[in-house]
Amino acid sequence: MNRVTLWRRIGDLDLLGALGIDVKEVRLILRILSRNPLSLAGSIIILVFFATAILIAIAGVGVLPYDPYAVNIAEALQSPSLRHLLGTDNLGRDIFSRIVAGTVVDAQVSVVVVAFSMAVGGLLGAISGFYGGKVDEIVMRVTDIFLAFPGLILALAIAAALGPSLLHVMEALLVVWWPTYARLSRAEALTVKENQYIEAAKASGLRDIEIVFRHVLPNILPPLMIYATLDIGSVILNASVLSYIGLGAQPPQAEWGRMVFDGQSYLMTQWWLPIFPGVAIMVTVLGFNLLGDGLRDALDPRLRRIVRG
Amino acid sequence: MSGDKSLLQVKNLRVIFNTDAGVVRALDGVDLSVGYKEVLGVVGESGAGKSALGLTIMRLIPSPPGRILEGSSIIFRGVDLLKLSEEEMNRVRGTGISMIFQEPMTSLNPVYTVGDQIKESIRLRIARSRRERPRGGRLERLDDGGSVEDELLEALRLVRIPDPEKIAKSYPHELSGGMRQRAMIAMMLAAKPSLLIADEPTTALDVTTQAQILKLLRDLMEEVGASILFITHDFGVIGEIADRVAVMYAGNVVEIAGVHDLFHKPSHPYTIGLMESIPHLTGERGELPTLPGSMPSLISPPPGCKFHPRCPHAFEKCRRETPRLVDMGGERWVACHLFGRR
Repeated sequence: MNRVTLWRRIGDLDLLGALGIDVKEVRLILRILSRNPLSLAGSIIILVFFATAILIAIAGVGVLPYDPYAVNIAEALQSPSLRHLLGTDNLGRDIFSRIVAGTVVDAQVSVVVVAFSMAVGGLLGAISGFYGGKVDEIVMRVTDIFLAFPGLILALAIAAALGPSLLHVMEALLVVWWPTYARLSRAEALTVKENQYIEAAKASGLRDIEIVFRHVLPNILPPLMIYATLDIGSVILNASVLSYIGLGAQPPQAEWGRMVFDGQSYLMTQWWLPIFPGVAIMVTVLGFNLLGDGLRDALDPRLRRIVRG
Repeated sequence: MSGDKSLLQVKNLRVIFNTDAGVVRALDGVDLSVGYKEVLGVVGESGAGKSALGLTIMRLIPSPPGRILEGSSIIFRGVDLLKLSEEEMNRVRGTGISMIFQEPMTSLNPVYTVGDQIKESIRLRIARSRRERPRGGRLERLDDGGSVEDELLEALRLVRIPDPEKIAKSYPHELSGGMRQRAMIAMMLAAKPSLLIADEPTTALDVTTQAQILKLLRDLMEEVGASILFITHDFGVIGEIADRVAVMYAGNVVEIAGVHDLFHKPSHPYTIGLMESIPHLTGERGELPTLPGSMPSLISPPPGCKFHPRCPHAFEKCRRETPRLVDMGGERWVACHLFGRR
């Protein structure tokens, strides 16, 4: 099977060796993943999502069958047909084109939020875990405070205070998102710092902060990256919720949550207005969750035996 | 001890650890010295304080819970390391005193190639000599015009690694234990330290590789001109590599002597006991003599000489007074009342 050989190729890259990952182990994990139809479906959804987003971001909305922002009252509220695959909205805009154009917004928001959370949380967590003592105590209590609030409510409050805009949604989500990464990174740093190469680095006269950057961070990156990739789905979900409430993307921007909100009054008569963007959110988030489940099974040696046998 | 001519002089070194169970006296007044171009072996049972000694000299004792008590001193090249600031101590680490560890499997960082890690060590040394910190990959030229790359290959050749170009590009997990330990030694020697602390560097290796590494260290000491403080629990290893030996028991040095003297006429009852319990290839077969009992708790050690509960020659004074190291002449020092001031 072609896909399997592709997985093999990925497994062969020396990059993985460079990250201290056992290549055989990775190959086994990829094989288990590709055998599980659900996680395979999940990875395809994710690939399609990002491929589309990158294509639109580079080529512009011109490649779409219709301009997602062109108002055409004459064709308003058309049901799905060959002409308009997913129908048109109340302003006659093609819903398929708008959904595809929306991938860019969601990809952008989710990647930015996850990347910044990983950078901020990852660094703070690594410092916290490596130094221990008072530093650790302070960083961890601060994350406790952030984690004490329900994430979405806190994000909502911040976004509302800043005023409706997509940028503010990103900022609000970032505030809520980094503590999880700090926790994760700290836990990894605690194991990494027990390694003798850390002691050896100290014995070579490297300063603590140099050890954090040169020896601790590169070693906690792989698990952090895996978590971040799977985390993108929940950022998309939360960003959509904020946009749905009206705090994020503003009209006429094509954003999935906003499209559900704008179309919900047509639910009983022209159902395709809110349903299709809703399905887009659901499928994308599902894709991340499916891959996440598959990856968890593949990484758990006890579950792995069942899959193999 | 060798007096002023020594590279490292440890005097009355006392280190305690505060634990939930009580205060552990890991090092309780250790005196020893390492001369120039000398290998000092440090032997003792597990928990005798050998590794704590190595880490304390590097000032890498985790603190808290560890603490170096007042009155201790570690004189290295005429400077008391315990009086240096952390920043000054950092400059001693690596280029002054370097350390290799027991576990070659985990003492190299898995995410960098062996070459990168050795180069880091070389750059650190150049940066030190230029009084600046290393930045990125800019320090590619040495003062004598050679490149870091050349010096890396030289370092790998020095530790007898075959095909150094290939090994430099390898990741630690691609190498065997012996190769990793060689790479580790290359990395530490690339910083050109004057003292190398080797904490059981061959314990995790098989006997053949162990012999090769020991010979390598011995040869390198001659070539590079560094001294070695060699920590081990294995008398066989000591016999291979050391010039002089310090025997440790429960946080004290109980005897220091030249390696030949120690093996042939041990003085301290503990050393004698240890020597008798080593099986010999020749001679009578029979049950091996053992030392009765085990090493005392370091939280509440027995008063006086810590060895007295196990000592066949213990007398009244041993229970009251802690013996100090006494010069027996001929480079031999013993801490035992049997030999005190006669």
